Amino acid sequence: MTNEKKKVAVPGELLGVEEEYVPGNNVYVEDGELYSNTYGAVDLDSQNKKIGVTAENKVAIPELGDIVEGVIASAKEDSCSVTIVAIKGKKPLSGNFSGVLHVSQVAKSYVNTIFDAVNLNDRILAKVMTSWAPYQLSTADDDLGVIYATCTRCGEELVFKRGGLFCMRDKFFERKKISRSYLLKEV
Amino acid sequence: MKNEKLISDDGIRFDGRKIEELRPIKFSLGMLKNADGSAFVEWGKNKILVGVMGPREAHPKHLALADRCRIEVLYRMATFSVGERKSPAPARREHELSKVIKEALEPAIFVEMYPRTTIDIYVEVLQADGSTRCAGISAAALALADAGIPMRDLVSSIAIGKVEGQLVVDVKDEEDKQGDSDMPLAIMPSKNAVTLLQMDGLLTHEEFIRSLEMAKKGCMEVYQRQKEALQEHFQKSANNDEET
Amino acid sequence: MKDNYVPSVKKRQIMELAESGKRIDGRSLMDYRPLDIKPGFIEKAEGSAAVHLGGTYVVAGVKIQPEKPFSDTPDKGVMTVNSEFVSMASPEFEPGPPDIKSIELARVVDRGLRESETIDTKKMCIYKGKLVWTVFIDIFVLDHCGNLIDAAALAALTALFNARMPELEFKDVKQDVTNTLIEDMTPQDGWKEKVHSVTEERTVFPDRKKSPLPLRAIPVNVTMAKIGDKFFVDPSKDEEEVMDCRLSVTFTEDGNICAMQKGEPGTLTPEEVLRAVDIAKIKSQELRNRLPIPEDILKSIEKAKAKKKEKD
Repeated sequence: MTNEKKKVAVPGELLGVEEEYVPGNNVYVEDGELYSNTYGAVDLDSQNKKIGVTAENKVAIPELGDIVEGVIASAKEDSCSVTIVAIKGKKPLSGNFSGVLHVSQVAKSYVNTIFDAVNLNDRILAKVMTSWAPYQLSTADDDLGVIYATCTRCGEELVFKRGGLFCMRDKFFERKKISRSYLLKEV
Repeated sequence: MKNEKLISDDGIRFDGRKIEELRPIKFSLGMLKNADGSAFVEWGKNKILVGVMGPREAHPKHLALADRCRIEVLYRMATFSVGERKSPAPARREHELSKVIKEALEPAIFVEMYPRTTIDIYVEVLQADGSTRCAGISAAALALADAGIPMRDLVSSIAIGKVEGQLVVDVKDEEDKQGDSDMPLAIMPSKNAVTLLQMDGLLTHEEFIRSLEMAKKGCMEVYQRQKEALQEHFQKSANNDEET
Repeated sequence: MKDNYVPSVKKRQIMELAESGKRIDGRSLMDYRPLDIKPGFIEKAEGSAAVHLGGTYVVAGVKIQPEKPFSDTPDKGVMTVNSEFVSMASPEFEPGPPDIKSIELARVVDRGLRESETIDTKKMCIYKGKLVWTVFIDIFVLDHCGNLIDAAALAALTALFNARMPELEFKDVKQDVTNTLIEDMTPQDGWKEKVHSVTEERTVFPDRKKSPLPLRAIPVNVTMAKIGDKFFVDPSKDEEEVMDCRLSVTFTEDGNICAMQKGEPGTLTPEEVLRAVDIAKIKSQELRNRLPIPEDILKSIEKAKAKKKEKD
């Protein structure tokens, strides 16, 4: 072992008093006393007199600005509901969260109806815009949008070809808001 | 068994413990892959596994609370956990214990941080040997910490019994069945706040006051074990990180 | 976030890797994940075992109790297998009555044990028509990382090997039954040397306590997932999510098949079935060699077999 034993705080552990330190991460203050609200290593920034705790484990819940992966569960002209199945950079979810994508949040440019951008069962990457369920989502950034879709006519997987999504069977392009990370590229 | 004494004249209990002595307690954490947090406790012959899932979206949706997270506890006993096979159907006792365990843990959780979600806590008693709710609550607090759920404090629990006229700490199955009373208690150790209190049997007022003192002391001992388990787990995962 | 969460994309990845004989977790197509079996995990049960198969975690407990026999088999003991998918084992497992997958699991394990006649139920009769031993095998799935059937079958079998008969107490039996029982008692095969003693309140067979169950087979189940045209032994959860179908085959140590179960909607050609059975035969023997079987159980199984041969 290279590093010396770190001091470990448990939830409810007294870290100090307000006169002594400024509360850092994962610290709560009660009656002028600083307590850890999690379990993990104690971080003491003696220069700034700040004490916090690096959480050993974190809950996986969508937060403002997170990038999430979701599936379009239902759609109408102006909005669609999204089942959030994963959050980038966080542990796998033990349950899905619901999100909503409004037509105004789909792209930077004007989109007439939601069906010009996504359709049922499409898999999308989206950014979280609000703090609780159902989470408002946005796919406006270039990285965001559809990452996997099937043909609405025949169910064949669509491949990315010359800037569009193409069905090899029907020889037909579908209009989508495509993410830069679309999974299937033309070979 | 029935006619044997549970406490000898020199104050030794039938399993060799002193009046205020706890059974050997060993907590471990993070053994489950699917649960968000997990803990296992061997507490004497008690073997209890706790899994935590969440916070996740409340289902059905109308059960969601607008201002805080909903805590759900499911306390279950395995069919083979007791002497005679227990029916797999949940009994009234299991429903009641689920409720009191939930209420023992909820004060320690920052429920207001995750409105409209649910945290599910599953307490599975694989082997029961008295004071399962206390062991379950103490293990559940660790499973919640393992899940990374923000908490005000841990929760530590112990049961005080009255056996053959004497108050004893950490009630074992036989002592519960043949004893005069059983009083499980849980506290948030650094807040000095009682989160679970039940009692059945008969205690004098003085005995109750003494029981409360003994319970507090017992809980602090459980708290030590919990802290040790967390520190050990931390060290273990730190070592694993270095290896990989 | 898991990469390639999209099932069809993941499936393609799994199939491409399989072309060169590999799997996403680094195994070959024929490999089991690390297997760890702990017999006697629950002291209060007559028998028990905890099984870790990769990340899958299953505990089985055996309870043996005197019960009334079924009217069509008055001289035979009873075996029942139950399973419970505990909610912490997977986000898909909802609390409540056993779901259909859990019932399937229990029935597949049950068939493997029943059809191989692992327990000699005739030796489990205490008093014909009135009292027989019932063996309850309860399986608890605590962590689901794929291939629950094999993990459960191994746990159930190990728990049976680990089981010891309880003391027979006539607490709930009427006096006249105990009296007739003592008069009519013809000791069953294998229990000959046992004597019974009578006290006023109850009758016990002291020597019978701690003796093992009358066992005579070692059935081992092997489950394979079919993805594309290949079989994946001991499928992980990732593989189960994209598999076309699943085939479980239970072999006895004599090389006989005693139970099979095809699962999921995909199809198999008869040639594929034959291929899978060949794989299962090899893998089941490998697994059997790794089972912690106590000496006395092995001996009694051999003895029971020799006796059967004599009869034939």
